[in-house]
Amino acid sequence: MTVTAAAGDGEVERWGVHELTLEGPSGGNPFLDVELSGRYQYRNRVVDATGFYDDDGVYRIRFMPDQEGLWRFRTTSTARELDGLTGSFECVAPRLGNHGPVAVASETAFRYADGSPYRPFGTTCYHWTHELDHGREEQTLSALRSSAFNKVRMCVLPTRDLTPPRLPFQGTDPHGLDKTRFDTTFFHHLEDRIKDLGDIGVEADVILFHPYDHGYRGLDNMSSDDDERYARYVLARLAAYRNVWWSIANEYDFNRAKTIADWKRLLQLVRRSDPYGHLRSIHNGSLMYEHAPLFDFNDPSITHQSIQHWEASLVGTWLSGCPKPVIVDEIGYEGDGPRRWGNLTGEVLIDRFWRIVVSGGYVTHGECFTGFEGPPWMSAGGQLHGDCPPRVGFLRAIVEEGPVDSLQATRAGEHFLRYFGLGQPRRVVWDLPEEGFYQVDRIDAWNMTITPLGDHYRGRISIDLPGRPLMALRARRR
Amino acid sequence: MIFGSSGAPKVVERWGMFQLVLEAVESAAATAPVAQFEQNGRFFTSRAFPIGPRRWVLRFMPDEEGVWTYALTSPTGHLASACGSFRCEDGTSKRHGPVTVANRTRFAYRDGERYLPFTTTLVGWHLADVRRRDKTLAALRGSPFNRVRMAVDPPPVSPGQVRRGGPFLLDRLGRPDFGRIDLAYFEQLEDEVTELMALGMEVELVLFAPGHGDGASEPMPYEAADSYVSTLVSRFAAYPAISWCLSAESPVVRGDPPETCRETQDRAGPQTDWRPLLRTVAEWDYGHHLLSVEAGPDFDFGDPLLSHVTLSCLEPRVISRLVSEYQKPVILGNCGFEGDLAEPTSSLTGEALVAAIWEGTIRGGYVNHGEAYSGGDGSTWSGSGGELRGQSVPRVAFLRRVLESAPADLQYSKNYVHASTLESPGRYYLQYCEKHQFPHRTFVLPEGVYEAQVLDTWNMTIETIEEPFEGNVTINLPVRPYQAIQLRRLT
Repeated sequence: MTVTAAAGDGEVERWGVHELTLEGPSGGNPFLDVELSGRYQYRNRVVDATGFYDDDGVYRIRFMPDQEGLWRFRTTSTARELDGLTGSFECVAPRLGNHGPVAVASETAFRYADGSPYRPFGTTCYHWTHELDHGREEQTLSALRSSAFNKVRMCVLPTRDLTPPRLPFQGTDPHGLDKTRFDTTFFHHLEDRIKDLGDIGVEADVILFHPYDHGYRGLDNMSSDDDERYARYVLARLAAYRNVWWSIANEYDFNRAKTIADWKRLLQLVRRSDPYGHLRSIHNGSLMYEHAPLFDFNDPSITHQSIQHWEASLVGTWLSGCPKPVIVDEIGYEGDGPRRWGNLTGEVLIDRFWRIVVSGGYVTHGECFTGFEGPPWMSAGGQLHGDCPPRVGFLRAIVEEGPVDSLQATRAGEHFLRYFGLGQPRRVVWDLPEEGFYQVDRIDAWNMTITPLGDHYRGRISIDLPGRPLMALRARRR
Repeated sequence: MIFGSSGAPKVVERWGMFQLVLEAVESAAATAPVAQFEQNGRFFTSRAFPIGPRRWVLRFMPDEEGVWTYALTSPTGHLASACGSFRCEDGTSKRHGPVTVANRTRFAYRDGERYLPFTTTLVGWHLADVRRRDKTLAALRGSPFNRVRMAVDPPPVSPGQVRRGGPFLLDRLGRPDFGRIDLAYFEQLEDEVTELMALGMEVELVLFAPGHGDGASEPMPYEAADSYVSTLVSRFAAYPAISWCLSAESPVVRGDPPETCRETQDRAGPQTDWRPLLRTVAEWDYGHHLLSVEAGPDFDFGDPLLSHVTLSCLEPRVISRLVSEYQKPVILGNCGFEGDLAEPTSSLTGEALVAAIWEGTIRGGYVNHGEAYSGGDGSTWSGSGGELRGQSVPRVAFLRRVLESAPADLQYSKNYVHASTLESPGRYYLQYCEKHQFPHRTFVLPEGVYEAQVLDTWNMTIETIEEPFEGNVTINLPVRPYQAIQLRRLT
């Protein structure tokens, strides 16, 4: 039997989603009882994509073709009516703005599958999809669209303090959740938002586990079977979206119910269950100001270092300990909240951004202002109120104007970005290489101005600065 | 008509070779034609490989009995006149089929029979003169090995080799001309590979051997690598006994244990991104042969295109962790060779290599053999073949006999931390004491009557304990290293 996919007229763009919708058994608990997968084939290369039960007798397989040309597929299932279905589709060139999934390009760089560079300038909206508040979600998307942010850290599981209308699991909230049945309304909503992010060029750094349930719904300490079934289900549903990243956990070390061995097991499971190899990391909680070891990011199942640390001076240390790109996914939020993590001034956060970026790392933004309607941006999205977003945009523009591998370009004497932090020098001396001539620009990171100083510089130079913090100099070889 | 074709067979044995010679009758057609094969809704793609100017060979290996059809497409995508069909019949000579992954972490032939790889390393044996090649084949015939690992693109000529091997012709300065594939080399390579297969050997072709891209020789541009890989794969995928390994790295390790790995090499430079070439192999390999990359334990072997892990590491104890993490078979591709050369990795004692092979096997993996005793001309078995001289070989034969009489579903046991143990719980246990001279070992077993044997893995003796036992048992051991205990349920 040949089936037709519900994906237009048999054409799917490269790195788009081919979705197969099937009808099958609904008795018993199909989430547990029925296994379904699709074997997709381009020439002789096969890619196995896991299918999932979407409730009400509907099953789906989602697949992301990564190669233009003819793809054929055949299903395998423990349910007879879902087994052995075949079909094919043509994968065509990606549409404008579709660069494919992001992968690691070098020890300090990322790139899209089409080869174009990707530099993460993320922000944090942990639970922006949970309230199903359409108006607020539109605000969030609109704020993202007009900002420089190109990644959002977001959770699947709720916190204890949230009482969202839908949860990932069926059953009664909070004590009667059935960990073996998933709420497909919740997931459809989540998927629509991830697609929305993809449409505006924003990566979704999806956090699978976090420690904020505190025993309330039993989500921090599920059995390993429940953890693994949940992770496999999320991956079966989301992995075909090109803009997804996997963050195994937020603040993993605040969860007392799980050990490092559990996290490694889950990392391996995610690696095995994702046919596309999306980016994978895990994010620590404790040790914000301590110079202590974090998770062992050398584990081969980890693609990049997703760090929480509030010192902006350690990127070199982390890179020398592990040759994988560093994203400081939490470094404190701009805001006026009561908690230590949520009340930095814009100046302090922008200073941290600059210090991390000039030393070869990346930073994720967050905002926690209390005087506005609803929860703050870092919890639930909405509107951005802080001083940082335009200044992050200014920094991003400077970085994107620069070389793809800035550390390499600095070593080669091509490009220098020197940042003076919270100091307020009136004059600085700078030793540029003796060979060639350099165009030097004075950059005001706070007021967002770039002042060209001339293109005749070489060797030891002396430059006047305005005597206030957040200034930088850039030198580019002519 | 774009192509003329000749010699289309009407009947092909299962896992035998379908072959068609194609000639371009118009000078314009310079790109390799591609054919699609179909049987019962299953599709395969084969690209013809060049054998001369405007001449190609199209190959295929049918894996099911029945009627197969094929259609050739010209490079521009239009259907050419060359299409046809053949019948695939069960044969006798290719009974087992290719080796595949079975039960996630083990190997079996396609016909279901278990396959236990016992591999010896013969990097450049095919580049030796005919006398040495004949010696190599004779040595293999009497050996316990059933798999040979050899390099398609070995390092420049080493002792014992009389000719140079490599996928590209040389330019006037003696450097590879990456634009021109050496068709004669591939033809000769095929003769030598088929000689190994005639002995019943599986053949692992290492596509990129060390010595390339390290500054000593010129790095291969990606387009040249892609063209080389697709030509090679299209040609050799028709043999059921082939498997592919993209790289053979020296032990490269960073980070956590095992300690012995860490000191073998400093941190590697920029690593090759194998993903595009893995895809090239997978796209053109109509035989779906085993495919791997050899790398240290810090490499991410999780890519689904990698059928198994090929590890380069001096320490076999890491194997059990990798089997469990990746849920794939693990072959320790290179843990050093038994030999007497200057490098630490080519001067292992027989005891050390046999211990590594046993420990790695008991950890749920497989360990390759290699020998580097320097002959009069500086040549070695693993470099260029010849004669096997080491002490490991008979001991590998002993291990092979033990494993072949054991159940197929053996897994590394997490219940025995003091001595590694393979088990089929309630049926069979094989514990290895390595260097430890235990006076005795105790087992607590599920119900049943068991027979116990003490194996001396170095002296190759098996002593059966007279009395079968039930439940708890303590087995006394001679106080010597390299002892093993085998427990088998009788009733």
